[in-house]
Amino acid sequence: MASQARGLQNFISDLRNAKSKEEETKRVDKELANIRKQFTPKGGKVAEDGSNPALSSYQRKKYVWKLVYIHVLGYDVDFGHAEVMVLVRSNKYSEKHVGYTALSLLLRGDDPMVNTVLSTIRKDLTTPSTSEKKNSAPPDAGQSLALCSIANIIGLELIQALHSEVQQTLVAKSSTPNVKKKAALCLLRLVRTSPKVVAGREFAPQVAQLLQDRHLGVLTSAMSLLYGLASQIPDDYESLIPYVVHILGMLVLKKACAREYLYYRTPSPWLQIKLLKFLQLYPTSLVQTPKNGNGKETAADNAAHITQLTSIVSKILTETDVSDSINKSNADHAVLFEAVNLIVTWGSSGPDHLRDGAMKLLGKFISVREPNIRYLGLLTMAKLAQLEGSAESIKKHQATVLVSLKDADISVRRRALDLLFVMCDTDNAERIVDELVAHLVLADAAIREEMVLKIAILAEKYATDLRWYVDTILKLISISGDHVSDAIWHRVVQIVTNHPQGDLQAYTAATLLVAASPRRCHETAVRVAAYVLGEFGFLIAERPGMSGEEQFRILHQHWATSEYQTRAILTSTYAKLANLYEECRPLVAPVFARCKNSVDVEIQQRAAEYASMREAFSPEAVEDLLREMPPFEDNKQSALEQRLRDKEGDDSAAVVKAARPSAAQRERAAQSKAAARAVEEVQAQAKADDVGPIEDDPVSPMSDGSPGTNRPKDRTQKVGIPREVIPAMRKAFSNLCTSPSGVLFENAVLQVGVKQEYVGAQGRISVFFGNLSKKPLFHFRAIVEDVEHLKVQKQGTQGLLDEDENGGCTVAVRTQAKLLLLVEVTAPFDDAPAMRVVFETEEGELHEYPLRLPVVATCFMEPVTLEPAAFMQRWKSLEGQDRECQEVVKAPANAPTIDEEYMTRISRIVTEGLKFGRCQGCDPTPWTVSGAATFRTGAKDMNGNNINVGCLVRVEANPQAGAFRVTTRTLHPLCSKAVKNVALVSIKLSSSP
Amino acid sequence: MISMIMVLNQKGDIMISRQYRDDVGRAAADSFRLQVVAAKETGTEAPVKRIENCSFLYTRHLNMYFVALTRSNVNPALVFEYLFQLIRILKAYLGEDFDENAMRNNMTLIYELMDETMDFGYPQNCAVDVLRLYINLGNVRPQDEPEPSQLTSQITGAIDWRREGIRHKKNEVYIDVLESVNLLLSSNGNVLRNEVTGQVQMNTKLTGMPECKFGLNDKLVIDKEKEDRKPGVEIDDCTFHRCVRLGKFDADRTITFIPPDGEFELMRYRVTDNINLPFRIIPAVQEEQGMTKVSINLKVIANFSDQLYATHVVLKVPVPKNTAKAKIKHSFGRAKYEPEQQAIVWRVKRFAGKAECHINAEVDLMPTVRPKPWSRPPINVEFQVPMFTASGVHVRFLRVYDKSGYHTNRWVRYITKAGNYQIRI
Repeated sequence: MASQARGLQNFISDLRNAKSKEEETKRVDKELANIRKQFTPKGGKVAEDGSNPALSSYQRKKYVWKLVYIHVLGYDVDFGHAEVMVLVRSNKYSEKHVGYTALSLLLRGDDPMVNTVLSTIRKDLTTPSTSEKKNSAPPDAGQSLALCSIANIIGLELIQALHSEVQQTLVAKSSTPNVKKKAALCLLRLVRTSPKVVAGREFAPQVAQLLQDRHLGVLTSAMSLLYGLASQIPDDYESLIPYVVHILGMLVLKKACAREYLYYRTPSPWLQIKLLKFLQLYPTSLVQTPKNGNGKETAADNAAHITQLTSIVSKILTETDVSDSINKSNADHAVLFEAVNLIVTWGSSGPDHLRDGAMKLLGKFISVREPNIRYLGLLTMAKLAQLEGSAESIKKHQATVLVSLKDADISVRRRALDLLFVMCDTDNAERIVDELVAHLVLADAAIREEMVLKIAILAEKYATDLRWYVDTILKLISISGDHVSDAIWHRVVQIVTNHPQGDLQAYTAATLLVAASPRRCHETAVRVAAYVLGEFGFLIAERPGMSGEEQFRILHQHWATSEYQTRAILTSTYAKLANLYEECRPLVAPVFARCKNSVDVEIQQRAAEYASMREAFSPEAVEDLLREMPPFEDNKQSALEQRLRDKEGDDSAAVVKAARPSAAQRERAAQSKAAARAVEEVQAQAKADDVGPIEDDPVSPMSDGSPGTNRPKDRTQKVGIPREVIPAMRKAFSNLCTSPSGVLFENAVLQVGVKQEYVGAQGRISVFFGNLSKKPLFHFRAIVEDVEHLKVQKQGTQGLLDEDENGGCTVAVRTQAKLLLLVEVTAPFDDAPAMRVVFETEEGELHEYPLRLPVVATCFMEPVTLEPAAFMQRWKSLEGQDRECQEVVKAPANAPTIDEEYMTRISRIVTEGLKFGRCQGCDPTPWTVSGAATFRTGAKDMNGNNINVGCLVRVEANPQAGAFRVTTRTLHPLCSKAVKNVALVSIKLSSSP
Repeated sequence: MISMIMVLNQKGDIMISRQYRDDVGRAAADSFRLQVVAAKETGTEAPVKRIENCSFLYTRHLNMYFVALTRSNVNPALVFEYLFQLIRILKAYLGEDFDENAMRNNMTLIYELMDETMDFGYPQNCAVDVLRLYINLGNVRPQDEPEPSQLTSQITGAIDWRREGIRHKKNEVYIDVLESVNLLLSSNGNVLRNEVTGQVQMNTKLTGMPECKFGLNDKLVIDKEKEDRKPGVEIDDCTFHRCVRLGKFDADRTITFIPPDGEFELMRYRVTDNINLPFRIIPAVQEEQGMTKVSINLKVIANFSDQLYATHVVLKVPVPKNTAKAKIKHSFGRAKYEPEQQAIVWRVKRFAGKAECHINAEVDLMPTVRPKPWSRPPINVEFQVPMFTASGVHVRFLRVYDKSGYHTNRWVRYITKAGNYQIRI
């Protein structure tokens, strides 16, 4: 042969020696031109089929081989088919062989040439060539070649024309095993391209006949075909299960197998695997009676099959062992894992002892050294873990799996991670997550992202305490922040926002503040902290070192090092902080001013909008804009699960697992729903309750500080306000009348903090009840009495607003309950609303503290700047009657002397504390301070406008006597009184040392 | 400005690297290696690549990459001009085809050259003659070494491309006008694109510091002189060697200069109007029905004076991919089907002016399974016509003024070549 195809060999070696692509292309082009020239007859005499009759058989073969080689190299060959056809039609095996090879390579199914080939192929297929004697080719060679070409060409026309012939060849008695094998595979190929060529039910008996063949090669091919067919339409081939079980029995139980099919003493493992795979298509085969068409089989037969199958599987399970020969053990294990897969597909319908056996075996496998086996063991165990009731037995192997997590091989680690993910539930979640987090520190980059994602999902799913969840995510960020995707921290925010009950929000805010305080911390941590502090920062603003200013400082230190995206979040947070805390505004303003020129459009826009918001909109609108975000919509699928699905595909065990909601999750969902309902109910009730308990005597804010003495104790066991704290309380109350935040009450057990802000006639008062004792407080309730001049909306920690004595919430040690009041003033008033705080200590001691909220008339003042003339005019017009109020207060003996500096303090009290506009110029002496303001109410007059009350105040000091005279003149007597009271209190406070 | 110049070999290893600014590091070579050298893209990709905020501008000589790195927004034309000049200087020092070994052996010289030609990323004196005066580590060793003080004033002076005190026994100037014609004709004979790009190459061997004045038959100049002669040629764009006084050119379009010694390119120009095409080609290509045959008829006419002749004429007539045989009849030259080019190639060594030639070709095609229409690519023509300018440009005068007033011999030569000369069929 070598000498024959000299030209071909030269050509090939030329191409191999080509130095560059261009050289090769040139050589190929030259050769193609040569072949074209050779294929064109000299005298122009072309044979009927377009070939050149002058070519010798040798030349024709040589040129066709060259074409094939050029085609295989990737060049386009689109001629010479006529010559190929001549070769195919030839009777000589050597020519046919070349012809069919070229045909299957050069021809595509949709070529128009296919038609001309059909008859030739059919002829070869149906008549086994017997004519040749001198040639050594076997008689079935033609048939085999034809079958191969059919399988390779695959065109619609070809399939339609020839599929029946292929089927006939497959089942014909005359076909040799070789041909049968090829026919089965060819048919499989045909079925894959156009599934309709084989009618299932009619064809099933024919396959059954094939399955009774004794030749294992035929059986293997037939099983390939059967598996291909059955995976398309399983029902049609269910009747074949007994045959398959029978073959499997032969192989496994009786070890009946021809010598040449023994692979390291394992009888034809490939066939076994195919059989087992086929059985996996029928998960219910053990319980259901197979529908048999001919009715001959009885239930007894059926039962026999089932028992046989069970014994086969159990034999596979018991007899397989780790053996010395790698090849032997590979083959055995392949079969074994298929058997375990079969058990998994059977699920609970399969026999228990098989499942247990499989589990035990897998437990053994995941602890062997051989990584392949361990990999497969972990994989299969993950599948097994999905079955109901297998969780307990798998948990026994938890320790072993954790060891695998530290394997040198990354694919084994991946599988171990998968398995851990699947076996995790509420009981062992904490341990598994902790292990994973600990391992994350050591894990290499390739697996980290996957681990982080999975830890995040597990922590969320099985967290009994959401604080743990928050902690875990924070840990993830600190260990491997780069791999914590946005979706993960978005989820944290979502969960924290959606769970207002308990102190989760405050806890998260505090934890994140601590996490963000070091100079270097991961950007993701800054992002979460920025968002959460913007939303819930006010919950912790009262704690030491966590004031609004401090929050700003901690966040802003990361500004310079963070990306634009983070800066955008920070900008929004700053806007919120500035809105809540007066003292933050001067800090934030320069940041916004700088950002207005930022390169990043998003930051620029945010900064510009936030900066001009106050001027552009009414205070209410600003308040509305910067309000806390409403709870997120609870979408069914979290973004994390979506990511997992994207990564692993739909059918992975982990995805199935992740989609199932855990008990803890369900419980939480129910809780938050209930909480939402409770809040609604309370609000509805508050609205309905028009008639609140009316105060017995309108007390001035001064005397208001000591309600403990005023109120008779109706129950002896009740603990009231201790006497010794009353002076401090008074001072705190007075202080709070003029400042936005502070402590209202504090003793050893309880601290009550207030934060308030007012815009026009509306106010927002947050009251925090912090437990200072060493033990939790039970039945904690806060009762705010309704007064007619204030419209109050209450919102608070679950149970806090309960009317019932046995209700109330529990305030754990070092935590807070929170009450939010939204008030709107409807009429002038001169007292402060009362609030009772009732709770029980662990010892059963009942505490009741009557307190007053520092909501006084001056809170709703709006400064007015008046010209001196206008002031004097109004001042005069309001003279006399009951519109004027006057009182003289003497500074205490130890007070500092009244001087210029002292007067600036007084004027500050008037402008900042009382919220009056200072009227410069109408004060005749430096010892006088005058101011004007409007008292805004939400009530409407007849024209639908809000009713406002104009107020004027004048403080005159007598430095010699050390006394002040406060005069207020307003349109409403109550207003005058209230303003005078607050002014006096403030002045007294300022004069006390 | 340029931050760094590197020379890499084919593997992407740094052979030479000179940092002019410290905003890029040697590590940048790695990214260049990965993105450009490893991609094995030669010629098809843009010569400017931006990787991680750093621009790589590169060109090749043999299998070496000359790369300029910068982080600023530079003028790419300037950078490339510098790279080309650098290669030119190296050629002058190390020989026309200097290679990797030559580079390695003359490393110190190369660094010295790089230091001299660029300062802090700004190109400096790139004139080879001048560099040779004081950088002579290599095989260049001038006989008359100038005084150091003279050298300084020369380098920093106004005319840094020519040194003083050059002497030649014979004062000669050679002028070569080289033109290349670009043409694209549609199949029905309409001109789609037609232009001539020309360059004037000079080789001066003149004594002292002569002032030269050079004149072409530029239309603007001729019109001004108002002589009754042939109308001049409209020159569209021109660029000059830096020795030309551009101020004077702008004022009255006279080209005056003090030339460098030896060879240099005085100017380049482009002409788009009134072009004399040296060859006229009339094609007739017919495909027969059923894609079995193509017949080609060509008529080629030389359009220039019969006293001239063209050399190296090559006509490439494309044929379909599935050509089996071609029968060609032609009056002179050699013609054959070359499958590598997928064309019939007709070669003539000497084509006399005003001559005519016919070519007939019958092309047999091989039937194919999946018939594909033939894309009919254009006919390509190559040629050279000495002493002929397609644009009509000719040198009117070259005057040399020197203090000593010596006599100068001047030699002028014209050559027109085919650039992209294509005729669609």
